[in-house]
Amino acid sequence: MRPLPFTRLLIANRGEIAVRIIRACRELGIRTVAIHSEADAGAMHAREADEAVAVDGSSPVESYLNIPRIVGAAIGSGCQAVHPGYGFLSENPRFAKAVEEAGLAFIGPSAETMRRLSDKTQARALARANEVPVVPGFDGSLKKKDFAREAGRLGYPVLIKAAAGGGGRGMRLITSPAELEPALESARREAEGAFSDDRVFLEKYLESARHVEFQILGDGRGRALHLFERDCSLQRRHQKLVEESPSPALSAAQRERMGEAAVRLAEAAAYRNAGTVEFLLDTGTGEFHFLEVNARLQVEHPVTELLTGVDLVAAQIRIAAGDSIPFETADLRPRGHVLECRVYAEDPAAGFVPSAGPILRLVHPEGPGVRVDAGYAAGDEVSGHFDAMLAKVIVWAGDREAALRRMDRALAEMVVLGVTTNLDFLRALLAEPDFREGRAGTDFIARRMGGWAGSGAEVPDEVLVAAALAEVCSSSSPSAASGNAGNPGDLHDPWEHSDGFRMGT
Amino acid sequence: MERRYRAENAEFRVSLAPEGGGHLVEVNGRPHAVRVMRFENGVLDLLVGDRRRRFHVASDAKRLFVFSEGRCYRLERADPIRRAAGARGADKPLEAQMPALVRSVVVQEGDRVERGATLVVLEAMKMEIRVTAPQASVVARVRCREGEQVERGQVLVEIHPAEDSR
Repeated sequence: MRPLPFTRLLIANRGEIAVRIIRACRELGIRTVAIHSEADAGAMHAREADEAVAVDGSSPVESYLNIPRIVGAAIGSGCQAVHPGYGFLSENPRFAKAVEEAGLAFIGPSAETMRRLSDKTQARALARANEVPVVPGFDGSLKKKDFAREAGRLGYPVLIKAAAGGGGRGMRLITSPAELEPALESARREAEGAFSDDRVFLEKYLESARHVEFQILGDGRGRALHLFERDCSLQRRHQKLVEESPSPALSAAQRERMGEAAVRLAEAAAYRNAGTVEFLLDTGTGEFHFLEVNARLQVEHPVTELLTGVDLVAAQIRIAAGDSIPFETADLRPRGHVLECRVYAEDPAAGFVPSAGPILRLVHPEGPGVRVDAGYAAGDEVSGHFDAMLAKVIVWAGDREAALRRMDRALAEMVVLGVTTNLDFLRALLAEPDFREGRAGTDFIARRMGGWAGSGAEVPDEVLVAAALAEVCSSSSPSAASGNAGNPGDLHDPWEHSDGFRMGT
Repeated sequence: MERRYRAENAEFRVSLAPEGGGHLVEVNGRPHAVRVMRFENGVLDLLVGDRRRRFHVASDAKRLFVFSEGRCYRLERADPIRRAAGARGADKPLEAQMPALVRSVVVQEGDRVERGATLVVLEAMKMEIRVTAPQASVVARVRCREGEQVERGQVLVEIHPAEDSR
């Protein structure tokens, strides 16, 4: 392999993706510099990197959005490249430009490409110009009566979306003409506040749709290829929860057509580095429609890595170093079936309210075909300042049924004590017959799991037995109780020295 | 020796007595013969009857967490003496579960609320979180205000459970 021009790389992110990038850099012999807010000084990514630089911000989140300080940290620590991860500044053209102007390599597309593709109406126009079908919609005007007319023409329900938007923000679903005007105003206000751009457009809402996206790599010189698809249909409030590949809904012919469309679009944009082209697949008609391009690495990239054996982060770094992509889609050998579940610190039985606190115990599942990408270790604090995703559990198996069994085993073996997680909810979801038979669309969780109240209310006697014995044993032997959170004797007997409660009676 | 715990709206009374080489443990009167085989680093291996079972246990000041057979259980310690003193008529504090912004305070002191009624609306991590009444109560004190940034564990509202509530 050609030696890389980078000896030091700064990661402008945190959590599991920062750890992922650190691992890729270790394998490539690149030293890593992490940034962190004050609240995150002890976080896993800051500990794992070779160096860590504190970055100010008016809030913990703001630190990871502080462009001048982050670029300054990269230069000051002698880095030649910056990896933005996902979220935060990863799709911010001003950041990409600032990195480039500082003479550093940005591990991602050019600022210009990012700007063009992050504007949804421009991206749709590019798709149409390259014979890539788009979700039927309207983005031609700002006049309310034009919107009303077009919404009627498209047929309700209709989605109002922010042109500069992302992450499900600035979106409104309207089911009747009466809802249009207030929804338009509300969406515009939210878009202005979130993206400083109040432009909105309409899209027909496809009811029985599946979210199927294609991973692409581009060399920035007009050549791009795809690494097959990921089906991300299990979502809650537009946030992906479970992803898989191959998509149970695609025929080989559909896969080929959609892959070609994704590549056509990427090449038309002269796309550089990793990206994802998202489509909606109408399961009723079998037609696919372009949704948007995510001009960055995605959370669910491990699905493609396990399917194809390609290390996408390493590929990103090599492309940024100027290497050409050393393979074609035809060279790839996708094998078996991959599933990924996102484990969150939240309580699905209580309206998915986030759960914060110290992680007292964390045990990852292991064994054949199991991979865990985690951003928290035992002893770390889930603060509530950031996204509540604790880890991604990804499994590979020979076929979909085996992958489902393996994922159930992995989720059952995962131990997280101290915060509530959605592990039980994920297992219940994966046990649903419609999902097991590959029929779940993007509205599945909302429709079917809305009132989920937990997987069974009774506490077995042996759990109480274990609790009581643990307390009794630890009060006489503190080391027995100290789990990997490292707090000796954290199982203390609160009654031993108070209230006159006598021991041994 | 006795322990009391609360979990999933149920109360448990656990008594332990040494027996043979192990313990006789009763859970709400149901007896179990148990032996501790090993307890290291928060991993507890028990012989329950004639079956070996493994549990992961951890705790913080208020709660005990137990992982068993693919499920995680959260137990609250129910202190019998404190309970006896405060069982009826005590004010219950409702706390913020994480740092958040108080979006709106829906109630005022003296309001009667039903189980599930929204008392305060918080915003954290781009989500709206509703703090609701765990049982029918009267609002005793409001301890936060709109626009305030609250910390984890900070008391938002104190409620006085209604006399005949369950």
